[in-house]
Amino acid sequence: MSTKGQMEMMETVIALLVFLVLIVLGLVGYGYYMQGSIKDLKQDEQVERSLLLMNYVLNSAEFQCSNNNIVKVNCVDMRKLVAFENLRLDYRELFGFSRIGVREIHPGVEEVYFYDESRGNDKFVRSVPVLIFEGNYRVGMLVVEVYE
Amino acid sequence: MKKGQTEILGIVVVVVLIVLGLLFFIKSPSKVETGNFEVIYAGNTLGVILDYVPYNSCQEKNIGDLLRDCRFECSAGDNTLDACECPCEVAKEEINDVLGKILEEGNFRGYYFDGVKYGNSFIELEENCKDRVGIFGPAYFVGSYEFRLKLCK
Repeated sequence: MSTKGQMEMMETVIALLVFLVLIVLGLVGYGYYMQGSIKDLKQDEQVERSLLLMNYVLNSAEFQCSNNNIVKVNCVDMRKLVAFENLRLDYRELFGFSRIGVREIHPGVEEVYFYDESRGNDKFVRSVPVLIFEGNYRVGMLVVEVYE
Repeated sequence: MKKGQTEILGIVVVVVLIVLGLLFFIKSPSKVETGNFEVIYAGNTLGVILDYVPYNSCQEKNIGDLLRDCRFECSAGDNTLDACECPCEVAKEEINDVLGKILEEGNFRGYYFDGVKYGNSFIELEENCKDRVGIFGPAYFVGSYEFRLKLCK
């Protein structure tokens, strides 16, 4: 019943099907790749933003400790942090969706978040040791949580 | 073009498509390096330790100043650590305390701290780190003194 023409037609249809399957597999692979690379880009952006915020907090007059015009590096003034809570909204454009605070670890234990504009659960947290000045010096961590 | 040649060309096209498809699965490494942050972390840790003024300090001297007073021998007994009489011992105790607490907060599990004067080490504190690979923060130079900190994972 099957003639030579029908056989060739079948061959062409099978070749087309294989070709389509390959294209679909390629598209699925590309989709996975793009998903992964978008996730990486998002994480890179969060890492960079956390470093920028950390750098800003440690090097800006709004938070730094100073005495007789001498600035102490890696030190935040607790009284400035408390006062900053009233200015929070003015810094929204700069800090974006993030949560920034200090956690005292020595000699006592205390935690103060002076900027809190958290959103959702997808966050990147980074902390670095700092000196906290409030009449005397304490050791703590500057904690920066960056939200998506 | 003969039928055989056409089929070979088809196979070549299919192979090229498969290779292109596989290339998508090979991911490029993330651009942001975490190594730089760890160096900053170690540098900050050393700076914070040297600038920290303990409650029981002598004349509000920070750890860096107390370490520079290490040349004075401790005259008190072991149980009465006064920073004016035993600056070195108080500094060592505080450094161990502070570093222990900072390590609890981060990804590091050990440290090696040393102070050098004119090339001679006069203080050495360590916990699971001395002979291991670790991250050195930038050294601190105060006069003829040099302080270094290595953090190990």
